[in-house]
Amino acid sequence: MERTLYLIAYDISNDKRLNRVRNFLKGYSTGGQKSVYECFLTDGELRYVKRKLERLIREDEDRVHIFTMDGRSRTHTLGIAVQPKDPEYFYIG
Amino acid sequence: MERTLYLNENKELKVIRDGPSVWVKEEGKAGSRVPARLIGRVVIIGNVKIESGVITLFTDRNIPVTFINYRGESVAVALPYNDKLPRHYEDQKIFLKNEQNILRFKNWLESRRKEIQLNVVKRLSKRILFKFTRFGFREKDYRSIINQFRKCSLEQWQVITVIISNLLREMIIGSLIRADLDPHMGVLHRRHNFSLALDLCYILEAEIDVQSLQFLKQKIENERLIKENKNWYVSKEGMRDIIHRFENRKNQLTNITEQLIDDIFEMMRELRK
Repeated sequence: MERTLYLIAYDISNDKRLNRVRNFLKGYSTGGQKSVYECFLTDGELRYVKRKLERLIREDEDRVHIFTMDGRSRTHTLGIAVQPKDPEYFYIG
Repeated sequence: MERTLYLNENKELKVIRDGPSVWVKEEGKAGSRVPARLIGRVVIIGNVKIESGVITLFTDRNIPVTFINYRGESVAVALPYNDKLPRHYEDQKIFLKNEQNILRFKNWLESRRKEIQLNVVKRLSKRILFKFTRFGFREKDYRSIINQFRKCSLEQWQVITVIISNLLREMIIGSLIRADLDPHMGVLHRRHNFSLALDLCYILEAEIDVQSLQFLKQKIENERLIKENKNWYVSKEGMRDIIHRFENRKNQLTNITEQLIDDIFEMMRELRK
């Protein structure tokens, strides 16, 4: 299944909504930082994530950005950051 | 979607639950997140610092968690507690209903096993395959061919095969649970836990042999088996190599397992008539 890398960043003004959005995105993210998530999504998953986020936030107070990353480009990383990747299996240790 | 999460022993590794995902902390490295929805199987190798919430996160989603050591021993499998029987439990009972059905299941196991063995022999030597297909072969003929190619001690061989068979069993258990079959309702290994999974593993045993042979071929260049206190262990690099080989072959193995499960359903339908 073809997956594209998306960067999802948010700015939520209310703690309750913030927790809900954060918890939801943790189910899709394979990397990222505190309020920026790296998500490898299929088209269907992207549609679902968008719909769900629309329901979770308040349109007049919060903001969410979904950036589509170009699959051909390489991310520049500094410090302990690692390249975003969508592995066939997860091997840790 | 069905990916495997392997957690290998590491002193600096700590695995905690973070909502619908697990967060893996390693000293000197950026933490990494693994969402549970992407995972179909979990294998924990050796002693890993892990929160119990991580295990419940997976088992709640019907994802089996297997614990193995570097010798492939002391295997444990965590599955969700479920007071309801699998959907096809009653249908599966038909295999054990009478001697005739038991015999039919055993014949099916043997014929499928032979088929896989022939495929493996084909990969090892075309000459032997020709001999086997022309004159037929017995279990001991196949074993003697594998022993010829083995070129290591029996103990070393067992360490590798046990690890690979655990990975395979984990894969089979996952497939059986998804098919709503009872993994404990086998025929050849009946009265054992996970007997149906063991039955399917028996069919695919030749695949374990070929992967072990490939691993041993590599071992000559890099030492991936180590001896400690008179026992053989697979080194960390060796474990990574075994897993990588297994994952490369996983799609084909999954397809074979799915076909075997289809056969089981087919047999259940036929025997019900």
